[in-house]
Amino acid sequence: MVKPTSLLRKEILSAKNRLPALLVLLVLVPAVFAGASLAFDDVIPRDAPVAVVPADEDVTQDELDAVGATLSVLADPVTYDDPSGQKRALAREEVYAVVEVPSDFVDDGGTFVVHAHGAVVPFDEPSKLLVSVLDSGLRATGSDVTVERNIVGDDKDLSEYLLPVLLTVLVFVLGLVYVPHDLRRERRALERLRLETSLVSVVLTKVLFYAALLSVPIAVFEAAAQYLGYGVSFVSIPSVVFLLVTFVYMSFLGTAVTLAARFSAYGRLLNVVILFGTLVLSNIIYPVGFFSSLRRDVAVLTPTHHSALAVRSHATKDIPATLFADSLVPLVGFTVVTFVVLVLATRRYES
Amino acid sequence: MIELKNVTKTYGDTVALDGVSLRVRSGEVHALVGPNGSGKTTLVDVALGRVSPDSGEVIRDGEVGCAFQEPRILDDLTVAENLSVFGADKELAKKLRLDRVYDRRASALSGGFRKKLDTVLALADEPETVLFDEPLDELDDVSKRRLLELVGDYAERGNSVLVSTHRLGEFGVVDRLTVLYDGEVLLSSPTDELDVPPQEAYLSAVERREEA
Repeated sequence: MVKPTSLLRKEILSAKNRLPALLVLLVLVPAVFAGASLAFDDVIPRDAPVAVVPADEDVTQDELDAVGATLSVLADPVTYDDPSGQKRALAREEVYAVVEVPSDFVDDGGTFVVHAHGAVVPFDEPSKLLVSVLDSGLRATGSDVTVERNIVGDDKDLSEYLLPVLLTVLVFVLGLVYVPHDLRRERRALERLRLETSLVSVVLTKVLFYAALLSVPIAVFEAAAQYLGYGVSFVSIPSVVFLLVTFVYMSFLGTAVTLAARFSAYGRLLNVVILFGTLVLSNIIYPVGFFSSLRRDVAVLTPTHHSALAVRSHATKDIPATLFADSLVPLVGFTVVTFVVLVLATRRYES
Repeated sequence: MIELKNVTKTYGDTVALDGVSLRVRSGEVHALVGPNGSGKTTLVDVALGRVSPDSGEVIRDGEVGCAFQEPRILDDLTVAENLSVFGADKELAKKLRLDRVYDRRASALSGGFRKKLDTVLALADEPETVLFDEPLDELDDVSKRRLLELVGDYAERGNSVLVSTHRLGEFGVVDRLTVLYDGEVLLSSPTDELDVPPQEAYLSAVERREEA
C-alpha cells in the first residue's frame, strides 16, 4: 500500500518537474489578476472626456474655459471649434458628452445643453450627474442658467449595449482558445501534413475556415437581438469586417503561442493569460474614462479596444459605414505582424 | 530515390549522426538497424527533412512518404475520412482489412489498426520513396505478412523503401542492410553479398564493435 507520505512525495516531485507551468499558474496569473485591479478607479468617472463647444459665434474663450473649469471635477474637458468634429467625436466615443455653451451666460444667463449618446449606456447616469454639476456650479457663480440634457440617437438599455460586447468576447475566446485547441488536437497528424504541405498553410486554412464559420454566431446574435426586440444589428459590413479581422488577429496570436510552446501546457496557460489581459486592457466593457488614466492610455493603444468599439458602435448606433475606417488600419497592421510571428513560430516548431 | 552524403548531426554534446552516407535506390527495400540510441530516428528525420543536418547533403528525388513509429493520423476523423483527406487508396486499405473499420473514428482504433491506417496514408499518391519507422510494431502475425507483401509489391513497382526496425528477423524482403552504431555506419551491404542472414550480420557487426 502506498503511504500518504509517498503520495505527497509524488505531488512534490511532479510539481518540481512542472515548475514552469506552476510558475505561470501561481505567479504570472495572480500578477495579471492583481494588475487587473488597476482597471478600477472610481465608481463615477472623474476624467471622462467631454467636449465644450460654443452654441454661437459670440461665445468667448474665457466663457468656454470657465465651463471647462466647472466640469473638471467630473470630466476632462476638450475644446472643439468645429461642430461636425464634436458630433463625430461623440459618435466615436472620443468624448462622452458635448456641452453647448451659450454666449454671455454670466450676465444674461442662458440654456446649456448637454448632449449624450443614447447608445453609450454606461454614461447615462454620469451625464445626468454632469448636468447637475454644471447647474449647481454655474448657479453658484450667480449666473441665471438652465442646463438641459439631450440624448443623441436612440436610447438603448444595458442589455442592448452588452450584446455586441459579448459577441466580441466570444470572438476573442474562439480565436485565442478554441482555434489553438483545435490545432493541438491535430498535433500528431501535423507531422504527416508537413510532408505534403507547409505548417503555415495548415494553420491558415484552419483560421480561414473558422473565420467563415463566424457567420453562425453572428447570425445567432442577430436572431437573438431580433427576438428580444433589441435595437441592435450585427448584419453590417463594418461590424462583420471588424469581427473577422479581430478573429484572424487573435487566432494568429493564439496559434503562434501554441506552436512556439510546442503544444505544451505553458502555451495553453499563456493563451488564457493573453485572453484575460486582452479583455482587461482593451476596456471593451466600459468606455474609456471610467478607469485610471494609465488604463485609458493603454486601452487606446490596443487594436482590440478599437475593434470592440467599432463593432458595438456599428451595432447600436446609426453611423456612417466609414466612421471607424481608420481603426481598421492598425488592426490589419497588428494582424500582419502576428502572421509574421506565426510564421516564425512554425519555424521554431519545425526546428 | 533518397541519398544522404556524409551527414553529421549533433544535439548539444551528443553526436547523433557522424558522417553518415546512405543511398536508398529505386526498387530496393533498404533496412536500417541499430541498437537503441544509434541514430536511426535522427537519420529518418534528416531523410524526411524534418531535421536539418549540421553538415553533409540530403538528396530527395521525388515525393517522400513516411509511416511513422507513432501513427500520425487525424484522430477526430473516421478511417474513411482519413483516407479521403490524404487521397489514400481504398484498395490498399482493404488489403490491410481497414474496410472493417471505415466508419470508426481513428481515436477509437486499436494500436494495430492505427498502425495500418498510418501505413496506408504513407503510401497515398504512391510517393517514389517511403520510410517505414518500426512498421511491424503492434501488428498481429497475419497483418505483418500482409504488410510485408504490400512493401514488397511497392518496391517491385520501382519505388524506394527505407525500413528502420528492431525486427529485422521478421522482415523477409530486404535488399540492402545498413547498421548504425553511435551515429556511425558499421555495415552497409546488399543482403545477397552477405555471408550470413541479415539479422546475424547485424548482431555480429555490433558485437565486433563492442568488443573492439
